[in-house]
Amino acid sequence: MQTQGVILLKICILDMPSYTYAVKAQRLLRARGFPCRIRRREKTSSEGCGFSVHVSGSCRGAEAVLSGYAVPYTVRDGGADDDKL
Amino acid sequence: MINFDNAATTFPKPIAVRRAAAEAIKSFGGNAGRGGHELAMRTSEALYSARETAADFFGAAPENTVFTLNCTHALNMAIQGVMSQGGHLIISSMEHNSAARPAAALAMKKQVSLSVAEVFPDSGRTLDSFRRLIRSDTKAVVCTIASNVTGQLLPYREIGQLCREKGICFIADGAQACGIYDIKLSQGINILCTAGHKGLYGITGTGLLLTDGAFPITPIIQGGTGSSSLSLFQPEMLPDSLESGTPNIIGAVTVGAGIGFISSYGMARLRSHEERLCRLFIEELESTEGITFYRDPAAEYAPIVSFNIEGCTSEQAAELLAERGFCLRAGYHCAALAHATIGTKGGTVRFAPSVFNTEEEVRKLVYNVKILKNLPNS
Repeated sequence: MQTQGVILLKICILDMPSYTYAVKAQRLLRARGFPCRIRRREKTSSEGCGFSVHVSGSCRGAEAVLSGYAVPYTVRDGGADDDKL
Repeated sequence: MINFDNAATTFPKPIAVRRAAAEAIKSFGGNAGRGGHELAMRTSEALYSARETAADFFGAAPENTVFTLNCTHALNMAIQGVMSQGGHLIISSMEHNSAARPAAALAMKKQVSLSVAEVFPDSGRTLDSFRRLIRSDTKAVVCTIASNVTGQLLPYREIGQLCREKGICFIADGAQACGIYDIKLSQGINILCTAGHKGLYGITGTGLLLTDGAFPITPIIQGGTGSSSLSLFQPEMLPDSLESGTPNIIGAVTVGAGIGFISSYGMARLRSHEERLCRLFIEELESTEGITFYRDPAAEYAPIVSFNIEGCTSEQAAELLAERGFCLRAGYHCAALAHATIGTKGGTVRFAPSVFNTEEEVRKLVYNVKILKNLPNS
């Protein structure tokens, strides 16, 4: 179903170890032109609740930025492709 | 009422800090890092912004910047956390009880062996004191950057360098220096502990622990962090490992605003103003017989002046000045070691201006100190 005015994008979901790292990642990525936002993890992991950074596009560019700043993250397998950024 | 007790906590606070506190109460009512709804997310962003501001100010990474209740809390976490596996600990003879007591408590339990490095007016001699005490099992050195009693500046950069050469953790107490001097972790400090409510102009109930991450800090408090919730064990990742429980979010926001105030006012300008007030206070009174200042020409001082009036105990002097509308702290300033070092058995009266004090206020104080000096009982 197509919703008027909403662009459906491929997104990359990065699970973050803490909210502090989620905000750090978001600010690093936004400063480099990656549209992204922080969302509560909808599925809890084995460690419990947490936060993810949803980045528009593929993971490759975002991962390069975060790795460059030693920001820990885990790429979510099968990231949702219906997120609205 | 004129406040010259800013070494205890600064008052008044800058307008920007008061506004930030009001805005935080109004808008940041969620619990940071604990939920996904708008209120929690907005609050979390505000806390992170304050964390980032503090981190930038001291040259730390935001995730290595931990909000604490006060400097004492930060020092306890640092000292107990670094020394959790035992070893030899060195503190200076000018330490506040916030460092001396946790160190002494560990030594009493025989968890660590403790040495006290004597501080001299001459920085070279002070550095030698530390150097001579270092042993093969020395794990950490704790040293205040500026004494809370006299304002004496200790050679913290040199002590940091010495620690670095020996692979020892250097824990610096910046309670009386941060916000006045440009203190950075890169100056040889592994762990910097400071108050948020003194020179950083935040509200009370705020402090900071900043680490370069080189020495692990075992948490002394465990609990909810908003992360790794299913694990019964405390996360190892900073800042969560050292920030259990709901943080003082409003306080942290005010610390961020306070740092913003310092940056916009100019730290050098702020320091110069406070130093000028201290010089004026001393110059106006040094020719008055019976006033003793605890300053040595060989030492350098932060803008704090300790003094005594002949014929009055320090407490009597402060009380008489309080009756005339002046707030100064007397006694031992929670620093038994420092008073033993400078030989003030009856304590001192401490003059500690802030950026908001004026020369006129200092002149009024000087006038009243002279009156006290000439009272029949003094």
